[in-house]
Amino acid sequence: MKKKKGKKYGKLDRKLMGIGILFLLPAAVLIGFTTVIPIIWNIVLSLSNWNGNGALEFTGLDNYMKLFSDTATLKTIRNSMVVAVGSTVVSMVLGILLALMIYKMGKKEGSVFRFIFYNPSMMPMTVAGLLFVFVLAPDEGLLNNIFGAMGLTSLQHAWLAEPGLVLGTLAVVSGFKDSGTIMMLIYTGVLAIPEDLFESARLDGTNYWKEIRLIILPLIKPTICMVLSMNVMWSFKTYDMVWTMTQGGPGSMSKTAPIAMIQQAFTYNKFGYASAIGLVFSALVLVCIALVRRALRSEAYEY
Amino acid sequence: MKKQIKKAAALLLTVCTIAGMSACASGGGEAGGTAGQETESKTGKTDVVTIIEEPNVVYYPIFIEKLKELYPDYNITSKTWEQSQVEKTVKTAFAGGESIDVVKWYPNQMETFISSDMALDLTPYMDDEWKSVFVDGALDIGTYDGKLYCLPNSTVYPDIDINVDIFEAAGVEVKEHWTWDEFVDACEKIKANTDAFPFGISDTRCGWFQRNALLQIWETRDEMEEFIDGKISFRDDRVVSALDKINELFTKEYAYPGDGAFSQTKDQIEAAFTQGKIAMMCNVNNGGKNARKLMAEAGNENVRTVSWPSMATGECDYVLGGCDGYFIPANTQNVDAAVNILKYLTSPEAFEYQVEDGDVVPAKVEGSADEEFSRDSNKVYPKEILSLSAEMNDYVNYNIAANYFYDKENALTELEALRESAQ
Amino acid sequence: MSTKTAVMKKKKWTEDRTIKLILRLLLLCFSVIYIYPVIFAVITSLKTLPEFYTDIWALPKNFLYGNYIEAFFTGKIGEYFLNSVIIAVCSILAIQVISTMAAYALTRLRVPHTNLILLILFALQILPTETIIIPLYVEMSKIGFLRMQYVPIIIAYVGWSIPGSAIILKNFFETVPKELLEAARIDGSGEVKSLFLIVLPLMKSAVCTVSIMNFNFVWGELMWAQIATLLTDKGLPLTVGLLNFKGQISTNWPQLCAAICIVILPLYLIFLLMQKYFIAGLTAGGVKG
Repeated sequence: MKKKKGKKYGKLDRKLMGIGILFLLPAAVLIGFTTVIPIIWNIVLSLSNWNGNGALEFTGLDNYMKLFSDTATLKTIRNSMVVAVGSTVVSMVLGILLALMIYKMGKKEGSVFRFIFYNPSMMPMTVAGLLFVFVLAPDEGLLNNIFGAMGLTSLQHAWLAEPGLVLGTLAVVSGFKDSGTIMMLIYTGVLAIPEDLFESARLDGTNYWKEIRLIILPLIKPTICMVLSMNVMWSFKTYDMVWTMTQGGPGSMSKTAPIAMIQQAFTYNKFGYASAIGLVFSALVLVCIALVRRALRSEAYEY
Repeated sequence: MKKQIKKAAALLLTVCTIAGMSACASGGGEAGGTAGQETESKTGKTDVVTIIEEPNVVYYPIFIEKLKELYPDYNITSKTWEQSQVEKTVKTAFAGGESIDVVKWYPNQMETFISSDMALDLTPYMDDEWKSVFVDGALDIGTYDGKLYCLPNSTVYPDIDINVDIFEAAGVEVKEHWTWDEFVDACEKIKANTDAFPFGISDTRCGWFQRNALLQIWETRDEMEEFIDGKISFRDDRVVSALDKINELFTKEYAYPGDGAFSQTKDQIEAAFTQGKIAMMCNVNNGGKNARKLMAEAGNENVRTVSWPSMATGECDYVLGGCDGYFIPANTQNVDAAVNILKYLTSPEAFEYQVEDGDVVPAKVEGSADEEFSRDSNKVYPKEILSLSAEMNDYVNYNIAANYFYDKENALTELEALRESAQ
Repeated sequence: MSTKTAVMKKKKWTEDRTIKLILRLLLLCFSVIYIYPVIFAVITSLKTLPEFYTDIWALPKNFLYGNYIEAFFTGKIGEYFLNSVIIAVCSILAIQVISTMAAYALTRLRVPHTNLILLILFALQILPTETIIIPLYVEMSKIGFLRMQYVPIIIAYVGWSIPGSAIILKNFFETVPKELLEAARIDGSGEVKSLFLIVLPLMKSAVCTVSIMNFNFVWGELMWAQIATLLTDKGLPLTVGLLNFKGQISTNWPQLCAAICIVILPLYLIFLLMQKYFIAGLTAGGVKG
């Protein structure tokens, strides 16, 4: 069949395209206004010096040069990475585990459990942070008191104040909080698997573990991949929780990149530098996500 | 064709944004200079925004009420004050060209606003009558380079609230003024003879040890001034030995609760103090009355307040002073209204309310607070090494204690870097 | 049914039951950890401040509703609550409509460069909010949105949530078989009709998931809400109002916990309601392959 040159789309197709673009318009306008323009602003700002009041002076890549030799800031980026990686691992493991356990439960029971597990995710980050500060307090905190009651005094620590522990603790709390959302998303993925597959498998005599390994995990791989990418992204947005729990302390031990950014901008009046940190940080996050997706290399099974 | 259009559109968008931004940026600078145009709201009233009201402090709501009575033409919006939000709030409003009129902030930490010209110079508005309300020298604390930016509204300095029962149990004498060695000795005895921790200090205050030490260790006042100007290195023997002495307090676990002593919130320390777990609570003079109240509620009336232990061997027996105060952001659109509000807030009437609540005020007001809570008022030194730069301020105030404790070399390097970059 | 199958079925049944029991125990252990913070908040909110300080973990002596009443009226939580509700409802509706349209367009309506657009949309979300707030504030200020109540907050929330929601919806859209839509198209129903009458009912689960996620974001967002309401005291949502309880001098923890409980309650209710539709949607509609 010969294709007419120059006429790439048929009439119906063009109409559909038109409607498609119309449908996309409101989204595009809003995203442009709330995200794209601020990003361009940031890029321009990162190439200049601005103290919040007065003229903008272009300084080219100075801010970036400064960033790469500023050990304090690099340390904050490293802190962010540690918390993000830890948080992602914790939330994915917990989320997937819980989803796999829950789907076996009946409807009523399952919904009760889902509700309980989702509830930390529902809380605003500041609220969760505040509540966990109590749990983790060295003297009157719940965790240390439980250890004490069990006689495991050696496990009692100042969770949010010791150099080696503070980042790990933040990661675990953050991961714990997100695990509910992960569980819900994975659960939706599991539900999408048609019943007949399970039926036929059961007739073939598989047990629970095989069910998980051979049916569920492979089929929810694309869901896991998508959830993982989004999770990696969220886990870098640590400002609220870290600020509520430790304010970046003690000293600057748990200062993560977002806190450093706010400080540079609002306390030191170095808005350009703050933007540069933001952009480098975002680039890093993008790289992480790309690596993760590459590692999982999702394939969609037809079913 | 399509691709070219897309490229052109993107380019146009970028150009517009940059143009718009530069216009905003320079416009922001201009607006700062044309302060003085009144904003009239639809109702014909002047819209005024204040950020002074702290939750759980008794007198601020009273002030707002009085202001509303006094100036019915002002439409006063009182925003809640929260320490970590103030800078963000003021600077974002600046960027957006929105007017904030009166803000509470610390007069000796105004660097963050002054270095970007965001504070209004109050010198032209201060007449002699207004000045006479304050005690001599009180206004120095908010003066930078001869210009007055921030008016103090209280005299705040650190002191120590003591649970006398524990002291007696440990066999330690309570002295109103004591040296560092006496303090360490007391800690040792308390730790050895009782179950309580010798002292407790909250996270944002840990830097007080270092700040006070850095004022006191010099032989002469000139030397101290040299250090404050950043001319003496942090690696100087005197500095390092002082910082090391402070470290020892924490290595010997004199501070509640041992591990994690740098991260205790004010509430946690207060709770521990009322429960008798700490012998000494590091506090501000203005907080003394409240501490007594809490202890009384817990059934303990045997509390005294003493001075901060002094490391001074020469003539520099000073303490740090961190008063609260008010300033006017430079982009206010209602200067007259702001000045009027400021006048009321620093009037004898307002100060009297504060005194009633237990504050020590830098004003000549009847019935000033207890001697116990104002003993060291004249030992307060208005300038410290922190005034060198906003970064130094932040580091010495909040980070030095923990950073020096966990990684001494690194902390010294960082401090030196900050000092040098501010020269 | 042959004997062999019957035996196997019985074996499966007992095996199933043991597994369920083990799972139930594990889940109960986890539940305790997950529900504890909330229980702590509830218990604390029923105490008075001195009582709280004497023993943080004890049960309350009397069940004081006083904190809630005080929080509601003196703390103006009632007003903040209403504001949050208005902001949440408007935002979620707007996000749902716009994202669905966008996701649909990207999947079905032959929009060029779909994958590229999605990738960019996704990447845009990565930039930290902290760096966006100033330019956004300036934009809104220039246009004058800041003088309106709620508007600046809602616009920002909608704009930020569209990419995430659109991606999730798109993923689910792709499971709707093309044949169904082609058939509808041939029948002559307009695109909009086909979208809302045919596709949406099938997407109930996705719609619910998206709504719940967006509600959580909107209900708990603090930074932008604070900045957008910088200079007013009207239209403040709960998260901003909550800060009023946390002072520099002292925090009234029982009252704060009461306020926290008031904040969390609607989240719970919404989730419980949505769960029903979630399940109903799955059992009722469903695309049989």
